Amino acid sequence: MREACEILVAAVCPLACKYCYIPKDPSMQTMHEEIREAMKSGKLLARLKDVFDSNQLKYLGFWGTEPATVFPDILQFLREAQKVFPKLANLSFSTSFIFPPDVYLKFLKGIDSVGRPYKVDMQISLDGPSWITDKNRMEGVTERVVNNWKAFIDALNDTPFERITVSLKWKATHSIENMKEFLKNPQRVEEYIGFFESLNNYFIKHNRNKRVTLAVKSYVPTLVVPGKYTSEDGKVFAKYLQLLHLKGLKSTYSYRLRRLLIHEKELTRNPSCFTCSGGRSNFGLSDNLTICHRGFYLDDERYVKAILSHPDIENWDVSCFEKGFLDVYKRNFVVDPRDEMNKIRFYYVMRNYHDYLSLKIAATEALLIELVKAGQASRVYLESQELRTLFALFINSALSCPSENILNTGSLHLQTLSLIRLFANGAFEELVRYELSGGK
Amino acid sequence: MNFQEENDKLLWNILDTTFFRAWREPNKLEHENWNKVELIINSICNLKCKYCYLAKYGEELIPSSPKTKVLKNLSIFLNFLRENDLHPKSFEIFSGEPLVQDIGLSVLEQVVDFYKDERIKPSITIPTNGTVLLYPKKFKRLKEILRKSEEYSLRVFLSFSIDGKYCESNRPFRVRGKVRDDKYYDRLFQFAKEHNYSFHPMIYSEKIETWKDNFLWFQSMYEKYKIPWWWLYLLEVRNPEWSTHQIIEFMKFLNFLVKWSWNKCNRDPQKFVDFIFKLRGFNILNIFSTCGRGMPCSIQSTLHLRLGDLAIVPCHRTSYPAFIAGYFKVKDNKIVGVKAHNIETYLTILTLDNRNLPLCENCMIRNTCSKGCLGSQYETTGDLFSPIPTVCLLEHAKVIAIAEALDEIGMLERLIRVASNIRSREIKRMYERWKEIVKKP
Repeated sequence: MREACEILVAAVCPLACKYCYIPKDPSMQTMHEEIREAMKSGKLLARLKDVFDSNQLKYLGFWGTEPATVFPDILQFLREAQKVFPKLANLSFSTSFIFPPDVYLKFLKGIDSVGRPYKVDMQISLDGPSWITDKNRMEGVTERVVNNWKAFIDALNDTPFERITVSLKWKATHSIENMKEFLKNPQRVEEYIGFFESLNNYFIKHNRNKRVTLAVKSYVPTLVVPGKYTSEDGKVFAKYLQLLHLKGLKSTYSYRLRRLLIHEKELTRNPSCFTCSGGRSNFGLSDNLTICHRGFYLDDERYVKAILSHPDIENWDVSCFEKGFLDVYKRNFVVDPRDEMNKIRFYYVMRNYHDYLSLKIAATEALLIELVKAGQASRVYLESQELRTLFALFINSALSCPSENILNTGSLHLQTLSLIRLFANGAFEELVRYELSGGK
Repeated sequence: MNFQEENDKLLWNILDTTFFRAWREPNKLEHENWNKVELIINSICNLKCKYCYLAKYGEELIPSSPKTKVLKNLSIFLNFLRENDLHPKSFEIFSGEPLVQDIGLSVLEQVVDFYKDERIKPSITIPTNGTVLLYPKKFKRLKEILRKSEEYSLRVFLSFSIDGKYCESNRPFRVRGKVRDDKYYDRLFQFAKEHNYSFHPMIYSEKIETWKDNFLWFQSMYEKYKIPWWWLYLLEVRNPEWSTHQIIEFMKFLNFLVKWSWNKCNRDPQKFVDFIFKLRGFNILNIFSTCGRGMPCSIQSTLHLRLGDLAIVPCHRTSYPAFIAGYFKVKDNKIVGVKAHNIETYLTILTLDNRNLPLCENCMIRNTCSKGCLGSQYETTGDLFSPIPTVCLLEHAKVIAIAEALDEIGMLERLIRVASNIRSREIKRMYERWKEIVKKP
């Protein structure tokens, strides 16, 4: 059932985060203006109508580089969109939170005033104290975000919402370098927890706006994915997880493994419960229809050409940016929303990803076996078929991302070697141990 | 080791434990699955067949390379085999049409000359459209190479990809002045007879209604040149363009083929059983026998090497830039390792059990169906592993048509008993379900 859409709203960002999946280029400024124009002119809404029937669309996500750069345009778009989609009820966006609090408050107030009781999810990307965030993002960012946070919470009390509810959550992303820093100074884990807890406490203590909530545990860290990880990185990651567990902190992957274990019976009955929603219930939409936000910009020849000409793009360690894989993506997973036959083909292939398991499991197991034989994964995966299969189920559900699969392997079904190496050198064993021991 | 270095090591390990291992120990039966190598030259062809993928995607699949580079790389690869005591059991030489090109003949000659004094000799197979007979100079050169190969005790086998007199319009010439008339076909079948070469026509959707006549034409030529009647390898083109009408025509042809074969076996049940199982039932009728690999084509048993750039590719049909497994690294004219590119796809294909494909996972004929071609699936659906819906229809129709015809001649139960495997049970179930459906008003 198609019910959610991530729309492209921007192409500029004041930050240059090391792990961002969008390599930046000056050519994006022109794209940014074109994207804004599409929102304002009704072109984007027309495309949205090409994909969703009026009663289908319930969730709308505002994506791009930094949506806060175009909040007024989004509001204008939303006013028109809600006339077409009466069931639209959920809005979401992610932000670095480096703009003055007033920018966010105005936007939320604006949504409140368009007349519908929207549930708004606002994700704040913050990786931890300055020794992580400033390193990953930009010098001085942490202090700005903390100050903005406090001012934002204070101001919320003077900004009563009449209809909307706002859910705030953190998003922390850690690189291998960050993990090494934790391992070098294990007390950094307490600092990390203390940092977010103080921000949580500020919210708990000062917020009186009953229409605003905060997911206080949402600062559990996630990884830069898919990356270009080595087996040594995998060993670092395993130690990092051990350290987090020792200090009583989980990673997001513990939750994902637990979910898999609890709902294991659904695996064969309903495999799509365990895949990401991209290309199933949720889609990405700009001028074209694609799997999710990950496909944005990749259909723009100017951008792709510009990035491919960057001298060091081959060594970009976040993902693969290579013409062959990009061609597979662009030809087959970027679709003109008005082309009905091509849309049917696209939906068919995406269902094949979400509704079937065997190929993905078999492929991951084969890769895992060969990695072990090459000395690049723990031997236990050769010895235990059960653990190997559980690993394959985990890596294809907890880290399900058909877009990254295509961009790194040419096939939406195939998990990347990088992620298998990362988890198969002790990390997954640690997650299993932790879960089976009841979180000790 | 960094990411690339680990990948390089991994790809080398995979090759070393599969193909290289089989080539090191060529007589060990357990390595049978990895004993071949295919040398891919280019996509150039003098025909422009309607269903040919090379006509549409050739330059992307096999980018052109200068002849000198191709031959130099071939020499580097052959020396690598010699220096490492590696002995592939067979070579296949592949291009659009190798035998009407100087480069194709040169590659063949280089391989033949290389093995002149080698102790262990491979066989060499070349799929060809047979039009080399219309190019006197090239044909003369080919015959000279074949003579040399015989002298060196090297078996060169040509497999003729001609679709038959009634389907010629599916395979027009790109060039003017070449005609495949009766005289040409007489020469071709005579040549095939002299060298024990066989034919592998493709059954395409267009002109499917003429296939009964086409098949009878093949048989009349076989009779004329005393080629065994069963020595014909029929394969349906698993492209998306099959219409319902054409699939029905395909079913009619299969019905005819079963009954023709039955009569040819003098309606002798044992002879017919032998025809299906021992003589392989023109390939297309042998739906009962299981294949020892996860994919019935040669994609898993052959190391496919693109000579122009020494790229290791899954096969000639899937050698799009994204799917290249890696490249042989060369230093001082010697292969010194590999540079990995896409191991994920390569290993998945090498280890693929096609019953695990999406949809096939739950399909009623998952064990029996020969499945689609991965390249064609990629070109049609955008995904190597997603079946083409019309090909699914075609394959279901094939099983039903053959089972129905066998039932009509009273041989279905017997073949099911003889095969007594998962396929035979599946065929029975499918056919019974079919009968239930057609009985319904």
